[in-house]
Amino acid sequence: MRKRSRWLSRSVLGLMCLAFAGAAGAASFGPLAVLAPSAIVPEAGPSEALSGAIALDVSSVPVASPTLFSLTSVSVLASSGASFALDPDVPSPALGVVQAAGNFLIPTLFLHIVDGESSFDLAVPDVTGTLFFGFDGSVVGIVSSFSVDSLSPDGTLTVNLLALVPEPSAGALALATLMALGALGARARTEVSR
Amino acid sequence: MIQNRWVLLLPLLALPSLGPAACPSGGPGATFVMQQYVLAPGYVEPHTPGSGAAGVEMAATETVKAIIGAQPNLNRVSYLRTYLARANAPAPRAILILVPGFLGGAGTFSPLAKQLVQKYNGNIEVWAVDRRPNQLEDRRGSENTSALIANATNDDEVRDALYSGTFFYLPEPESGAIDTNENGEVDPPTLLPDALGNQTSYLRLAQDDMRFAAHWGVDTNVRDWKVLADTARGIVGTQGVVLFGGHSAGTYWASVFAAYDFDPDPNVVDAGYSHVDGIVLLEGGGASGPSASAPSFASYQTTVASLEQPGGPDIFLGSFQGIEPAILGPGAEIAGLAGIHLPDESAIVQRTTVFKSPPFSLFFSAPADNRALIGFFLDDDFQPFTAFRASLGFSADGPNQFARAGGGFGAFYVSRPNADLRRWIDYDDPALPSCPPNTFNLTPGCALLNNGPRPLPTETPSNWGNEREVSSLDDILEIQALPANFVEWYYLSGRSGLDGAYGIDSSALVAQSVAATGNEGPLVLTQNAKVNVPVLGIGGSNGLAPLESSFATYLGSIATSASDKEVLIVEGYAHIDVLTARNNAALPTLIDWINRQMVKKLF
Repeated sequence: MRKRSRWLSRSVLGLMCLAFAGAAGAASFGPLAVLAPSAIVPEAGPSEALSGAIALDVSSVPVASPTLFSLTSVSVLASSGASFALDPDVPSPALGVVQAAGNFLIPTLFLHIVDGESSFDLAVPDVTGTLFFGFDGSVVGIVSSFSVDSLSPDGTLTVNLLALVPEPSAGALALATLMALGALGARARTEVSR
Repeated sequence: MIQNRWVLLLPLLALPSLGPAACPSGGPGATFVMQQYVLAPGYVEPHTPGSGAAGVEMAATETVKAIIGAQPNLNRVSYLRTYLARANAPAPRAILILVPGFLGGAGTFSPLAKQLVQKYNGNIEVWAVDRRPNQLEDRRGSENTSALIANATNDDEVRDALYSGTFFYLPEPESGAIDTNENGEVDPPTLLPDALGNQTSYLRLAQDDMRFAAHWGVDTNVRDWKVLADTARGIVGTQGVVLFGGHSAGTYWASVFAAYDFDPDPNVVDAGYSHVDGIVLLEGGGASGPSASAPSFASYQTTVASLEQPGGPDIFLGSFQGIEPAILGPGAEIAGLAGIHLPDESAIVQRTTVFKSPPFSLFFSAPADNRALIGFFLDDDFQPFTAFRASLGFSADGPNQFARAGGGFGAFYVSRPNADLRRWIDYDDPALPSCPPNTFNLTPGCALLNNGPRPLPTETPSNWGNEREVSSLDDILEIQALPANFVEWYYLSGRSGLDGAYGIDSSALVAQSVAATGNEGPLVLTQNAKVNVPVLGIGGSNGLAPLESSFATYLGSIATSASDKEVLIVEGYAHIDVLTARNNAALPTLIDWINRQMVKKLF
């Protein structure tokens, strides 16, 4: 399953990159809308759907080699009411590197969580995922899946996240959705680079 | 449903604990900030007891054996590991190794280390090292006191436990002139079983007990820490980061580690900086030099030989401005325990002979309670030495006499007795006096001073800006009586002082050694100009590194690119605050810098 997903992603991304001939430069993208099947999935029990938006910067597009990128805004809401944002106390809360194929690693993602009357900071190590690029090298989507120890009998919580540009061309949206769903199935969280 | 799960994450954010075990107390899956004091094999220095080097190994004295055992092996490196204990957790992506400053123990880094590990949720560990002589601190008295307190059922038993520790380290004179526990009789020194099975009181080292430390200079220290750096690399991997830093005089050690060539072959370089991914300088500008009076190779060898001989020059610092670290250290341990467990009672150590005599009596001229005693010694408003200052609060319940800066002292207040005991106002108490409305040189003075405008970059660095009160006395008390304690009882000065004369560059010495012996010799500081790893300097405007220029000499001596040299000055922080502040204002910059070093390793 994972091999098939990677093959699919690389093939489609390769075609996208071939079609692109723009000049490299830093760029900001977003807000990308957080869409289904984004969810928090416990080891047991029902999932909680996620909604909201994400924005990011890429230091050089099109991405032809390992490139610095960072999430610049996370505004995500769980169906239970808990909200997730970047930790405002950390100047670089979501700094990572994205490879030419779109797979990325954020060594530590610093989040601020508000859950009812409780609010706290939570750092998530080794967040991996994939950025999806449009024909012009722009980011049209992001998919990530990572785990958090709940410290409860529920065990590990898996966070699956899919966010896409709200109104891309129909073709880009279709491609990105297809790749994102495949990548989610492959559980990108296992691709921790060390 | 989800709400409950996220709330359950809260314990990992604020549950520090300390103990030798790596297992968390919360059971499988629990996640807590933990601390573990680690004694690991260090560099095998051949003269050191336990090396096994025939004809070279020096014998341990009976005192050393009584402290550490009949067959001592002192070639060990110790460090306080702060980490997040979590079942099946991945390895951290970063390990920060830190060296304490002048008279400082690994415990000084505890508040900062806990905040870092907590903020990273375990994706970083902090290893705060203790220099080798920490192994020889006779901590039986404070360990026994801690154990007695743990089993005490009332305040009388706690008090007796504290007296037991006091009489172990600070016995009453036989003259009866001092009656610490006010029972009307001279109490005998507390005896406890030592490592040889004898009943003894405090085993305090004489200079001749540590003659082997003639060989514990820069070379041995940095080789110990290379063991740690390489161990850390094995944990974080090639895509993780190993960072090396220090506080105060520890910044000297960090910079000499980076500048060292570990390979004795003149044609091969194994530079310290190549073992790490960045350097952190906390409230100190690193090393510089060498001095024009650095000795020749022959003179160097002669000095080492004399340090080795009984009756030779001092190996460790016996006294600093009249304060004996081997008394200050254990006194601080008992005072710390007293401050935690009987905070409101008359300070016990203040009733001992040593503390009733100068110079301690000058610091503690006003009777205080157990808690306030530590405050008076370390607070930036009452401690004359800038190097010992933290911003802990104030005491305003008695006269405070203002003393101007001078003679190596910063400005400070001398506390005077009131009708009762002087007590402490904590850092976060709204009652802390400020100026205005108070006047700085009129009692009771002010906790929050304005030290004036920031000096120009070209001016001599001096304190400036609005002081802040940021460090908790409770945190300071907690650190005093642990294996990774606050004070270093035996601060090496003999070989370290000799090596220090070469500053950051011993090339001339190495050249003479190569000519004489064919190898690079006993001190190989030859790589400083090639150091190219990122450096972050953090200073406090009320500390010893109050301006960017405080770091300029070191930063100007290395090859690191300008974009990888960064300095943060935190306004209002005193010298120790960068380590001990709650909600440390240096943390965002430090985390941001670490994040960027982590990302660099992924390219």
